[in-house]
Amino acid sequence: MRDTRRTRIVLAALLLGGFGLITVDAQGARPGAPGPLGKVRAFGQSVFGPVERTADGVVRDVGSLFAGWGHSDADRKRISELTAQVSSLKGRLETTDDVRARAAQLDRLLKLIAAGDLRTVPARLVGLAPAQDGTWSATIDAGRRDGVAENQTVLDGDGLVGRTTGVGPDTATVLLAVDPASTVGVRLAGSGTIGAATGQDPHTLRVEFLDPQLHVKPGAIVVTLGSAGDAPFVPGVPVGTVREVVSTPGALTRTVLVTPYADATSVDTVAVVVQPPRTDPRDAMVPGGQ
Amino acid sequence: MRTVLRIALAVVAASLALALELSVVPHLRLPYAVPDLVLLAVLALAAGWGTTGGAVSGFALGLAQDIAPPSVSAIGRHALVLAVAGALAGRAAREVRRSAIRTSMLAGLYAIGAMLLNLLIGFALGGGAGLSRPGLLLALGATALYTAVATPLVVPGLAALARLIDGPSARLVAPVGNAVSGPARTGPARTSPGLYPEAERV
Repeated sequence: MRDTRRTRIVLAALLLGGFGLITVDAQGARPGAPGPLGKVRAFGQSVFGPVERTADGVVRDVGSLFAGWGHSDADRKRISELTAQVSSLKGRLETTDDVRARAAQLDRLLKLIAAGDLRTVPARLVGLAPAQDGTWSATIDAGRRDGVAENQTVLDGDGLVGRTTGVGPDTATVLLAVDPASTVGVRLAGSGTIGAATGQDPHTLRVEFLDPQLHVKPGAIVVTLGSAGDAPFVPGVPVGTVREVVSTPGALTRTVLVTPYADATSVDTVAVVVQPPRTDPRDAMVPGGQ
Repeated sequence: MRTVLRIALAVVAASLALALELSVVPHLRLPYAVPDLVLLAVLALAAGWGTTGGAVSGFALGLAQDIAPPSVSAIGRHALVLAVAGALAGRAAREVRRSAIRTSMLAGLYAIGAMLLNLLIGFALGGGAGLSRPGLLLALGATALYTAVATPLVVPGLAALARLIDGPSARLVAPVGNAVSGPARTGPARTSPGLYPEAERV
C-alpha cells in the first residue's frame, strides 16, 4: 500500500513539474526568442550536439557501403529526373551548335549567384525531429565556431529551408519553414504583393496575402520578403509555388497553399546565410531566371 | 550505490536512444514517422524498476529529449508524456510476462498514446498539429508499427540490464522492513514475477 501511495506522490510531483516547466518555457513562445530556460537549452545543445554529430558520422560512413539502400520516393523521383536531364544534356553536347547556348546558361547561373550576393556556411543535417511529433526541426553540423548565429536564414539548392534558432559550439538547431511555429514574410515574385507564410504540414505552407482582391494562379512563385535588418530572413530566397487558392469569402486576406521548393523530409546539405546581401536581389534567385 | 548505477544506466540509455532516434534512424528514410526509441527505453526501464522508477526515468529521458538539439517545443513536453508512459508501463510490466508478441503490441499502443498526448499538449500550447489529417493517421499507424517492430531489439535487453544492476545487490544491502528502501526494493520484484518467481511466494 505504501508503495502505491509513494508512487502517486512521485507521479503527481513529476506531472506538476512537467506542467510547470512547460508553462515557464512557453513564455518565450517564439522559437529562437531568448526564453527563461535558454541556458538549459544551450546545455542540451552542447551535450547532445556532439553525440548526434558522432552518430551521424558513423551512419554516413557505414551508409556509404550500402549506398542506395532505402531511397525515399522523393529520392527516386529526383534520380529519374536527373537521369532524364543527363540524357538530354548529353544530346545537347553532341549537337555542337548548342555549346554556345550552354555557355550562355552557365553565364546566367554565375550572374544569378552573384545577384544573390550571399555569403554562406555549408552544413549537413545530423539530426531530424521525429516526424510524428508534428514539429519540423533539424540539427546541422555547423555552429558558433563556424560563424553561425541565431536567426539566420537556412537554404538549400531548391530554396528556403528555415532559420536557425539555437546555436551551440559545433551544432545548431534549424526551425524548418513548414513547422507550424514558423512564420516567414513573403511576396509574390514579379509583383509587390506581400504576405505571411505559416507552416501547415511537411509539404504545405499557408500564405495569407494582405490583398483580398489579389488574383493569383496556381504555379505562381513565392519568394521571401526579407525581415527588418535581414534577420531572420534575407530577401529574395525562393520559397515555393502556389498550389491552391483557398476560397475565403469576406476575409481580409487572400489565402493560398504553397508547395515549398525544399522538401522537409529529404533535406540534407544546406547553407546558412552568415552575411546578408548588400542589396535586395529581387527576383534574381527565382528558378527559371525571371 | 544502486541509485548511482540507475542514473548511469539511464544516462547511457538516453544518449543511445536519442542518437539512434534523431540521427541514425532518419537515414533509413522511413515514411511518415520514426520508431519511438526513447519511449521504448522508458518502457524497458519501467519494466525493470517498477512504477515509481519508471515514472522518474520517463521524466528524465523526456527532459533529455526536450533539451537535445532539434527540439524546439516547450521544455517539459516530452518529460510529461514519458513520465505518464513510464508510470503506466510499470503497472503493465507484471502483465506482460515475458511474451514477446504481447510486449510488442503493448509498446505499439503506448507509442500511439504517447503521440496523441504529445499532440494534445502541442494544441494546448497553441501550435498547429504540423501534420495534415491523412498524414496524422498515417503517422499514428507508422509510429505504432515501427515502435512495435523495434521493441524486441530494445526492451528485453535493456529491461534485463535494469534488473541486473539493482537485483542481487539490492536484496543484500536492504534488509526487509527497511523504512527507506523497503517499498522501492519490492517494486522490481513484484513487477517481474516471471524472472523472480520466488519473490511472489515470499
